[in-house]
Amino acid sequence: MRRFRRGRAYSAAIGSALHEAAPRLEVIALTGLGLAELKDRVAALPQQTVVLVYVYLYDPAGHPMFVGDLVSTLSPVSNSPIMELTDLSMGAGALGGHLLQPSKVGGATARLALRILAGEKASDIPVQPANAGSYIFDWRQLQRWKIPVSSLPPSSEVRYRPFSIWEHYWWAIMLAALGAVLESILVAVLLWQRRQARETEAGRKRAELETAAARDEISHLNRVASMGELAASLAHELNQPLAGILSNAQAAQRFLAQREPDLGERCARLSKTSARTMCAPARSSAVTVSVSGGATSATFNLTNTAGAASKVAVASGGTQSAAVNTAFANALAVTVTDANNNPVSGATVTFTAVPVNGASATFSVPAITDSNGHTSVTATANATAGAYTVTASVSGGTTSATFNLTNTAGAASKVTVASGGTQSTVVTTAFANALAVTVTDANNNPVSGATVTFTAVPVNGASATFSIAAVTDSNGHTSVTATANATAGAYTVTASVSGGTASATFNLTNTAGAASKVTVSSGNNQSAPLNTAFATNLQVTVTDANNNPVSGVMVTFTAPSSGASGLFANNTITTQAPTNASGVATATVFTANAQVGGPYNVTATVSGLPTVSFALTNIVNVSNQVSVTETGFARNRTTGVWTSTMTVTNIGTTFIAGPVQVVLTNLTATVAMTGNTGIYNGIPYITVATASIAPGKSATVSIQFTNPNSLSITFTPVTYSGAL
Amino acid sequence: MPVASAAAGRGSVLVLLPDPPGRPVSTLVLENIQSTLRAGDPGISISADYIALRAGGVSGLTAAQLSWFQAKYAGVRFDVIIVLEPQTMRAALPLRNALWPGTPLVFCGVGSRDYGDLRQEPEVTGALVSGEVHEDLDVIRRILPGTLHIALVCGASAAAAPTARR
Repeated sequence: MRRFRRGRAYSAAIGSALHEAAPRLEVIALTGLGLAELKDRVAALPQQTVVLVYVYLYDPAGHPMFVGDLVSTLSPVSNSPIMELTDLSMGAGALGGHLLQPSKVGGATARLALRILAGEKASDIPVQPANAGSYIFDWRQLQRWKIPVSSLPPSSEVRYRPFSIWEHYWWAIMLAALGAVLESILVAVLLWQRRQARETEAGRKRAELETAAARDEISHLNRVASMGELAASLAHELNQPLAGILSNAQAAQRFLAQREPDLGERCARLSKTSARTMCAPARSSAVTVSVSGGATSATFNLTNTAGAASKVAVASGGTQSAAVNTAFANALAVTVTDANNNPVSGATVTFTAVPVNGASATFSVPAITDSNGHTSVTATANATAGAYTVTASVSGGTTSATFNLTNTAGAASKVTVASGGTQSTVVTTAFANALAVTVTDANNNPVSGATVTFTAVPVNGASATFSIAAVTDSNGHTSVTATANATAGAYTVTASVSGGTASATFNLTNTAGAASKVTVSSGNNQSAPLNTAFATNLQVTVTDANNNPVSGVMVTFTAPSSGASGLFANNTITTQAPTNASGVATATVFTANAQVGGPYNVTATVSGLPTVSFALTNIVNVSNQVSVTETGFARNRTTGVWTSTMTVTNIGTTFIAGPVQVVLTNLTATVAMTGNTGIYNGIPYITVATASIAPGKSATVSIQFTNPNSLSITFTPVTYSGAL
Repeated sequence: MPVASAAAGRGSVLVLLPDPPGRPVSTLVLENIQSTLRAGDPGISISADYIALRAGGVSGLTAAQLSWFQAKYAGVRFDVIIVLEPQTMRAALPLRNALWPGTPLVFCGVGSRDYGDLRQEPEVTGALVSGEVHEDLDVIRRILPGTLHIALVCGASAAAAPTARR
């Protein structure tokens, strides 16, 4: 056991306690040593030693020494693990242990004070534990001293454990995976749509070919039928007279062969023969039978009627067009004849449409021929545009009539997005896909020749320009090329036709270009007391060449590595933050270190761009080292300003570094300070001295106030060393 | 006219902290006392001051310091005095008895051993903290069972004297 030296009373007491608790341990007293000597000693400790750092407020020269600074100095050179009482040295090199957390101590104490303020007597409130201790360890030190985490007490908190790639970038990995899944789904949907479109197009072409073939076949049959009728008619017209002539000649030969012809019989037979000879034209005629030298003649009134309705031919309206759902201008008129081309009256003609892709027509009441074999119907186009035929036929007929009708589309009514509906591009560049639309009438028939107007609806300046005016083709299609303007953001473009009922909407987004500029947003020119967080987090804004905010850019904030500086939330001088959708990157809370000074620069850096800086100052509250007095207020009756002189005296034993500034907290309500140096955390302050104030020395400054209610002016001065 | 004055009617609290100013532990404790009190009653007036312990003797308070505090707080009353750490407590007790007799005193950052010396003082209560030697030894025995030596690093300030005597 090492013997304690004189002047080491405190460590002797703790050492005794240690010895009582663990008599086998040897206690090595490192008491009242300066920093240099301590570094030498902890670097040469025997093996299997643990360094315990207890109360160490001042070094032997009387300078304040904070335990955190002491531990951070000793840890790099120590050959043994270092333990401390509180969690304030965590991260500075201390191993950890059962540590007191000052943040909890204050809260427990304040709650007791509140009970007293509420009326309880202090003597009635029993002393109670603050429950402010926890097992806390530094993972880096555990690694350094090869201490397994499994050996730690239950419920121990292990700090500074490095994050895995997953813990660091889980959100980015998840985002990328989600993006890949969405992209795969989008590709699958697009492939499915393309396949459907191809199948639909192939079906349409196949139907058109079949329709054309059917139309050709019908035309061919019509021509063949017409030729057959013509041939039959010619043969009939030639053979009938010839047969009649032959028959009459034979009859005449037989008459001449008789010696005494019976005139009565001959006349009767002649009348029959004449009648038969004259029967071909279906008309009424009179046959007069007479004998040579006879006084009278016999007259027969005969009528040849038309045969059965056989042929139907187009009389008018054979080829015409009409807008959908409207009546064709000309009636579909036909002439019905029998096999000998005699008009047939009273024949019922059936009009039948042969639809093509839905294009068809309806007809008026059934058509019955008049005495001239004529009849007609009124046709009305249905709702589908396209060409088709209508046949007119009679029952038992040999030939039908064919009308070629076309339903034309109605007025342009609806505009729908064909492609390019949702897309984005970088500002000032053209969108990859044209904005394509389909224009249809009220019945969804494509309308050709319609002029489509594309109009951007800007949002906060984000908009686009378009190429030449768009006119639809025969399929009702047209498109324009859009070019993003210089402003990033989402907006819409509408495509419409004059007099239309529905327009198409495109959702376009102009994305920002590459990061081009970094500017300080907030947090510049701040001050904070030592070991205290700065009130405003440091923020920068990253924009592109057109001042559009750029998101997702990683910004690195770096504080000075020595002297007056501070630490970010990760207890280092560097932190990184990505820009958000507004292009703003916000550093974690920045806490001043234990050194007075400034302004010093904390830089914000984006790769490839100029660095920007924040000017920060670490200040120290020296209110306990000064006496602040003022001479009493004098009111200027003309200006109404109340004036006094403030004197700040250094009552301590050390210099107070300048500038020395006084914050006037708790200033009387309705009283306002004028001529103040500035505002600190919303409270006015004034600079008393720009240089240091030596012990026992004073500095004075004039202070002015407006005091409209002539109240007694009071305030609580808080004095700081360092620029606020 | 006193420059510093406690607000009347809503309660006023004086927090006495150990020298030197700016110690991280003092700053943290003070911040939490302020935030907890403000949360309980935003109208509470809170003042803070430091006691320079380097110059203090057994009581932790010199006659010059006592005179200075008497001048500084002449005519100012507090409803509660909060003190941090045992050495401040020992300096604050004579200060309270001289300037604000009978004012309740609440301590924090004081362990059970130090409180044993103070339990006879009237109108005193507080929250005890752990941090005794045996807890450190328990941790050492658990995670570094082969330890044979303890190197004890302490300052040599007068603040340590009472503990040493105990």
